Parts: sequence; structure tokens; C-alpha cells
Amino acid sequence: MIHLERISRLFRSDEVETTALTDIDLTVEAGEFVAIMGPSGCGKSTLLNILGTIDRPTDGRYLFEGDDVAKEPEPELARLRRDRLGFVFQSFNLIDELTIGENVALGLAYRNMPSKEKRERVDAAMDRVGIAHRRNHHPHQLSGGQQQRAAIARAIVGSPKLILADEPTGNLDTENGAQVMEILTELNAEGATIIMVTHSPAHADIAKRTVHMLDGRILTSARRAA
Amino acid sequence: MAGSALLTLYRSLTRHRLYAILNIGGLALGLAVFLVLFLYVRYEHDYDRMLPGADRIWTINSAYDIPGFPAVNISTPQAMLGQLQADFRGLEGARLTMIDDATVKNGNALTSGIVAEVDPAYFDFFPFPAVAGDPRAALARPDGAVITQGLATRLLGEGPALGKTITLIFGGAAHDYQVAAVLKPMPGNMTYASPIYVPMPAAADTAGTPSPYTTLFLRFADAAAAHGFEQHLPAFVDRHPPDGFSSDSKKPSDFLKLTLLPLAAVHLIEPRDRAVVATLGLVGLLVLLIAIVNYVNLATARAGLRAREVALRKVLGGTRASLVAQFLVEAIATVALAALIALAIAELALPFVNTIGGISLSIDYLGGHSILIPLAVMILLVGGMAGLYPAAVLSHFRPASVLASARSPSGGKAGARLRQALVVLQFAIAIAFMIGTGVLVAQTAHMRDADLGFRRDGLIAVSSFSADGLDGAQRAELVHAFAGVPGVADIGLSRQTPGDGSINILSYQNNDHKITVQQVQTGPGFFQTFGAHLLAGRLFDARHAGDDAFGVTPDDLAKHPRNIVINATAAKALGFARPADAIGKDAPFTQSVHPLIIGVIADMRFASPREPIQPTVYQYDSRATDNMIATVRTAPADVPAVTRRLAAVWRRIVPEVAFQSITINQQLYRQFYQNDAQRSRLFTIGAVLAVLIGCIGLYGLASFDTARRIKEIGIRKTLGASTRDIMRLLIGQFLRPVILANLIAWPIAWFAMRKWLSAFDDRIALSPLYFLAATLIAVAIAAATVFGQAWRVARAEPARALRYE
Repeated sequence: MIHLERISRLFRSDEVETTALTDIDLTVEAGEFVAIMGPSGCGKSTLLNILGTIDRPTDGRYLFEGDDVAKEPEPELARLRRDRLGFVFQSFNLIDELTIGENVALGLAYRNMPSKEKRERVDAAMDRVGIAHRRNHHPHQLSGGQQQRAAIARAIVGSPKLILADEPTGNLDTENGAQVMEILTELNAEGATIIMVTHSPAHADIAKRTVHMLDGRILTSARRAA
Repeated sequence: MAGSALLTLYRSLTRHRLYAILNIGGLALGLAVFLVLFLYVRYEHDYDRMLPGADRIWTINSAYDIPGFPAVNISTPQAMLGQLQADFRGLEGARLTMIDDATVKNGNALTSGIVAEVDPAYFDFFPFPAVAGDPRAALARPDGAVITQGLATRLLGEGPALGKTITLIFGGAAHDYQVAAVLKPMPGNMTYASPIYVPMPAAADTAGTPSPYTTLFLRFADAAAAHGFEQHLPAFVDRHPPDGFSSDSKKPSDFLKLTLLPLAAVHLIEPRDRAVVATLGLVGLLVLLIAIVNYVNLATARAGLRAREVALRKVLGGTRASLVAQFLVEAIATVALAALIALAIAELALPFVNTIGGISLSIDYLGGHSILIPLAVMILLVGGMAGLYPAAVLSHFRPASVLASARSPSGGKAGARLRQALVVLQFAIAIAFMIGTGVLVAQTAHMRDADLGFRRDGLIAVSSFSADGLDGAQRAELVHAFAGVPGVADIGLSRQTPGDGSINILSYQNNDHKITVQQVQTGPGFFQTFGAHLLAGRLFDARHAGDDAFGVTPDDLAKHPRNIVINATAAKALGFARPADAIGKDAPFTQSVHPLIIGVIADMRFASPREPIQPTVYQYDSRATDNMIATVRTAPADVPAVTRRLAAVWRRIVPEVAFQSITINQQLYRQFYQNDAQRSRLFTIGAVLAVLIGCIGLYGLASFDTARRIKEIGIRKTLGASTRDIMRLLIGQFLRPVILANLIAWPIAWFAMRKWLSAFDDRIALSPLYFLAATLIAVAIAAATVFGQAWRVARAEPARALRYE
């Protein structure tokens, strides 16, 4: 499903040039649940952003289902994100001005779809993560766990093939973290491919494969014994 | 504390350049517009009030009250002052007669100019400061003249002017005067100022005929005394009836109304003029309001950037009051800075404004009219108004939550709503201005181009033709010679010309109904020259004895009135269904006077476009009489050349009188359109600047709001929104208040402009196109303003946006 070849990413400011990723090669098959681990600043989030096409590599090839998306124009990438990707962030990234229901609906806002179907899918996604009763609240009225579940609902409302999760449990307590991991595991069991950045070895253990990174490179990539 | 506040302000301005430019620039522009319009309103309001004692001067207003016509103001007979002073002992009075077609002779050069004949007491009433000589004593001698310094330099050069001789030609004779006093330059806003004053001849005291432009000034201790005096005026009119008054049933005071008018009220006596001054003052206030709104919007939108500073100051022991004071000091300092720039802008703009507005505004820094005190008051007021709300919002932040939170507060939902409402207000004002400007400009253009019933281009009125210095033989020779000038197609004579401001009204009693008509005295060539359109019958012809009033005595005229041509409106007023029905009929104006109607012409508009066309009667006199004006028809492009040739012919035949001419277009413009044109230009500038300042605010708001929403945009893009989706979202949101503003602007502009247009008889329709156009322009400008901001953030990589805090 995903094939990265010699991906690198440089950040340039006026004076400083920082290498975030160097020669990353990575292949992820459909249906995998991959955890990415590594110390802060090792390039995990940058890698995830590039996988999610919200950042572009400086160099290298990125094949998504056979298409080289590193060179695709922006409207194509927007369509790719809209139709095939779902994002979950550590800081939830819900929009404060919108209610939970509206935030979840945002996952379908840019699709052509009858509004009845949109409503049904939003309801289903919120039921699925157990926050339907919070539909009319604003994000700041919810606990962190509820906010993250709302963010997951937003990510899955469009039935994406790939879910990218950037430390989805990083801001949550153990119990809420466990709930989120449960949902992700279920989604993976239903066929979604998941790539997750995490600091938690326990949560990484839930994934089928763990990729270890250091200073912008992949150290090891180990599959969990079946 | 103030020092720290100013330091913070300085740092904040230098660190956030864009904000500083938008904030101070917008304020400065708004303040400059307000300043200029403030000066304008003060200039108009101060008309004739500048000299000490002006509040004790009244003028006599004489008006004929003729049924069916608006009251007609007439000039006051010069003899009236003597009669008044004989009847009311101790009454203080002075007279002024403006002679605006005098000729000033300087060596061999002749220039036409204005001369005022005044009583010596005039300079008691109007104590103009003199550079040399004593004006009052100067006029005590019969050949003493008082002239302004500017004229003295122009006529006599730089040296001392006292004792030098100037020659003035008016009243059919040349007069030599000695310059006996020189006046300092006068302010431009004086109704009764003249560059030359000469003594009023004693003969005028006894002459019973009213001479034009005579103004009578009276002085009273206070308004109560003036009001008391006014009660005696009807009895005075009955004791001294106007010349030629005869009526069996009515008293003179039923027709001639004498009233007292405070000198200060003379200039803005017309409600229309007062409305214009008030409107322009309102424009100034509203533009300032738009600028203040900008400040409030930008300050509260930026509140988040200051939240940490506020929190720290509170942690360090700052009270809410001290913070409010800090932000108020900041606002006032910002306004003061903007006011200095505004002063510079106003200074630079004034020459331009004066030229296009036909006024002479200036900024005084010292003296009684110093700008400094109003400026200081304005800085405090505007600073207080602009600073109070942001100060309240900013000082309200709770330190703990601000310092603990990664997010910066933005003034909350209520703050955002208020900003939206204020943008709606700004654009409502701006759009209403644009609609008003569009209608104003269109109506002004319409007046300039409307069909007046005659071709207005290429007509030259030789106004000096009626000057006193010419005799009948010279006039006849001039007409003959003018007709032979190359480029002259026609020459016609008439007593009235379009836009010369003269009217001649006759009121007729016809059995049961009364008809009031305008009379136009015509001579040979009049209809041909003006290109009158004959609807029925024929025009005057010297071969028809019954047409020509020449040599007919008034008695004979009453018994055998001459034939007349009337306009279509008169035909209708006389009850004829079709113009042809009127031909050959008597116009039964009175029991005894029944002139024969020989022709009906289409209406020609000689009077103001504001007034309805009156029923008009044209009479004919085959010989050039002394008060007729010659009008020449030529090709519009030839006007300058033909005028030069006419002047050359004139100098050959009447070398002692200055040639004076004006195109009918100019005359119409000066009399009827100039004020509207000048005011519409001032209004246009106000409207353009209102829109500009509104857009400065919108730009600032857009830049801060998009910065605040970068993260949201990142999220939306991550969820699959394309650049175009984001553009649509952002521009749509910024345009919503602009579009909403139309709902307020349209009805207001519609009512205001309908009222304004209703003052014109000849007017354009209030088409919806003006409204649509203003809306489209406002939306287009606003969209262009926010487009750049939206484009920048909409294209940014989402990952970068998501890192943004």
C-alpha cells in the first residue's frame, strides 16, 4: 500500500538547515498496524506528516497504492486525504468554534455526498466511539479522552483506508488511552491500515509491527511474533 | 507608569510594522478627512462672523410676496436708509451697493471688476484692519477709495499705494479716485467683501429707483432690540409705499415684506446650503467613526498577542485600573501620532481641496482660530473612544489561565461578533456614501448635459453689452460688426439670458383665476440664436407692426398690447390643449390687456434645474435697448477664437468700456451647477476615503484573523479541503459583513438621495443600478483586500500550520 524510497526532509530557515529525515525506506502493506517509536525530535511526526501528504519530502519517492504522490499537485493530494486518509493527533486538533457534531462532520465537509448520508455517517461514527451524547457540546467542554474519541470519529467518518495517528494517547490518562487503543485495534481488525507514532511501549506492543527511529533514520523494523 | 506604557507602545509599533502602518495610517487618514471637513464646516459657519461686532449687525431683507410664486427677494432702495433714520431716531445704518460690471483702468489696460459703493459708516460695521490710512476717514472725501492690499499690488505695484490715482468706469462715466486707505487681506468667507470701496454718491439718497445689489445694514444692541424694531416695519412700508404701487384693496405691506436677517445668517439662509454643510460635517464624523472602528477592531483582534504582557503585569502587582490607564495612554498616544500625520496630510491636501471645492480653507496654528485646541480635544476624545473598549477587554484577562494555556485568548466569541458588527457598520457607511456619490455625480452630469430646449454649447453672452457706458448708436454698430465676425453664426439680443439670475415676473388676474408668468424681453435674432423649437404659429418679425414694442408708449401698450410668443407651459397654463389652439387667441391676462398669441415654442430652461419651468411670455423690441445682452452663436470649438475677435471689434467701437463676455455654459455652471459640482467632488473624496479606510481596517482584521486561524485551516486541509475550498471559506466569511452592510446602507441611501433629488425639477431617476453598482464595488474591493491574506494561508503546507501555536 505504501512504499517509501530514500525519503529525506530538510527544514531550512534563514540561517539554519535541519535534517529531519534521511534516506527513509519503508513499506507498509494494506491491513498493517504499524507503531513508530523513538525519542523526541527523531523525525517520527515529520515522517507521519509526509505519509499523510500534509508535508512534502525534500527528496525521494513516495508511492501510495502505486501512485507517486511526492510529485502530485496540491489538489490531487487534497483529494487523496479527503477520500483515503484519516488523521488522529496528540493535541486532538478540534476546532474550538465548532460543536463536536460539526467537528466530526468536517471529515465529510469536502465530499460530494447527500446530506442525509452525511448525517447518518456522522451519527454512526460518533456512536462507534461513544460520544453521540456530546454532539452539541464544544470541545473545551469535554474531557481529553472524549475529545480524542471525537477526533477519531472525525478521522473514521470518511471510511479511510489509512489512519495516521500521531501520539493519539500522549495527552490521555491510562484508562482513556486504553479506550483509544481499543478503538484503533477494532478499526484495524475491520481492515483499516494504521500507522501510529507513540512513546508508549505498551501501546506499541498492540501494533503488529514496530519501527524504531533515531536522528531521522530507521533503526529497526520488527514484526511482532504472531 | 505612562513612561512604561509609551515604551511598550513604541516597541509594539516597531515590532509589528504592518499593524502600526494599518493602525496609524488608517487613523491618520480618517483624522485628516475629519480635520478638513471640520475646517470646511467652521469656514461656512463662520461666514461673516469673523469681524468684531458682527453679531450686532442685521440686514434688511425685502421680498415681494406674489401669490403662486415663491417669495422673491429684491434689492433694497438706497433711499430707504434715509427714510428709516428719519422715522426711527438714533438708528445706526450703512449701505453697500455692489457694482459687479465696473471697469478698472490701469494705464491703457482695462479689467472688469467689482466695486462697492458704501457709506463711511460701513467701516464702523465692518472694521477691516488697514495696512495704511484710515478707511472711515478715506470715504469721508468724495474721491477717496479704499482698496485691498492684493489689488493695490496688482494695480499699482509694490510701492506705497496711498495717494495714487485709480480710474473706475461704471454708471456710464469714468471716475478718478485717490487711494486713501489700503486694507489687509480679507478672509475668503465674507459675503459683503469687495476689493475696491468708494463713497456712495449723495444723489443716491434721493433717487427713488431701486438700484440693484443694494444692501442695507442696521446695528442693534441685541436680538431683542432688533426684534422690537422689526415689528414697526409693516407700518413703515405703508408710510413709504414702493414706487408705482397702486392697489385699491391691499396695503403696500401686504406685498412688500421687510424682515431683519442677522448678518451671520445671510450666508446659509437657504435650507439646502445648510443641509449640504451639515451633510459634509456628518461625512467627516462618519469617516472618523470608521477609523475609530478600525482601531478598536485591530486592538481587540490583537488582544491575544498582548495577553501574556497583561498577565505578567498583573502578576507583578498591576491593578486592573492601572492596566486600563496604560491602554488608554497607548490609545491616546497612538491617536496623537496619527493626528500629527493627519495634520501633515491636511496641509498637503488643502490647496487641492480649496481648488476643487471653490473655498479658501487654511490651518491656523496661533490666534483665535488656532487648530491646536480643537486638535487636542479631538485627540483626547478619539483616543478615549478608541481605547476604552480594548482597554476593558485586555485588562480583563485572568493571569493564571493566560499563563497556563498554550492558546492565546482572542477576546472570545463576543469579541469576534462585535468586530463583525463594527465591520458591518463601517461598510454600511461606506456603501451608503458610494451610492450617494454615484447619484450626486450622475445628477450633476445630467444637469450639465440635459436638454434645456436650446443648444447650450457655442453660445457666448457679451454681458458688457448692457454696460452703462454705451449709447444706442454704439450698440447698433456692435450688433452689425459682431454679425460680420468670422465664425459668428447668429447674434441675438435679449434682456434675460440662461443662468444670469435675472427674472421678470408678471402676475395677471384673469377674472377668477390668477396666472403668474415670466417675461423675457427679446430683440432681433433671439430665437434663431438660441435655436428655439417652434411648436405652432410663427416667431417675431420686424415687418409685423403688431410684434414690435419699439417706440410704443406705456399708455398705448396698455390699450394695444403687442403680440407675444409663449412657451408650451404657458399654453397649458392658459388652458389650451394643443399648442396650435393658442395661435391667434388673446391671452386674457387682465380685463384690459389681451395680447395676441402668435407663436408657441417648446420650453427653454433659463432658470435653475431645481425649479419647475414657469409659464413664459416672450416680447419683442426691434431696437437694441440699453439693458439687453448680446448673445452670439458659434461652433463650440471656435469659442475662444471668436471671443478674441469679438473683443477686438469691441475695443475698436467702445474703447472706454471693458469687454466682458461669458459662455452660456459657464454662466449656467456658475449660477446653477457650480455649488453642486464642487460639493459632489468633496463628497466623492469623502466617500473614496471612507471606503479606503474601511478596507484598511478589513485588511488588518483579515491579516490577524487568518493568522489566528492558521491551525484551523491546517486541520481543514488535513481533512481534505483544497486550496480553493479554503479560499472560498475565508473570503466568504470576510465578505459576509460587507454584504450584510448593504441591508443597512440601501434604505438609508435610498431615503437620503430621494430627498436630495426631490429638490430638483429636472432630475434623474433613482435607479437600482446605483445601489447594485455600489454593492458590487464594495464587495469587489473587500474581496481584493482579503484575497492576498486568504491566498497566503490557504496555500501553506498543512503540517506547518498544525505546528503553529
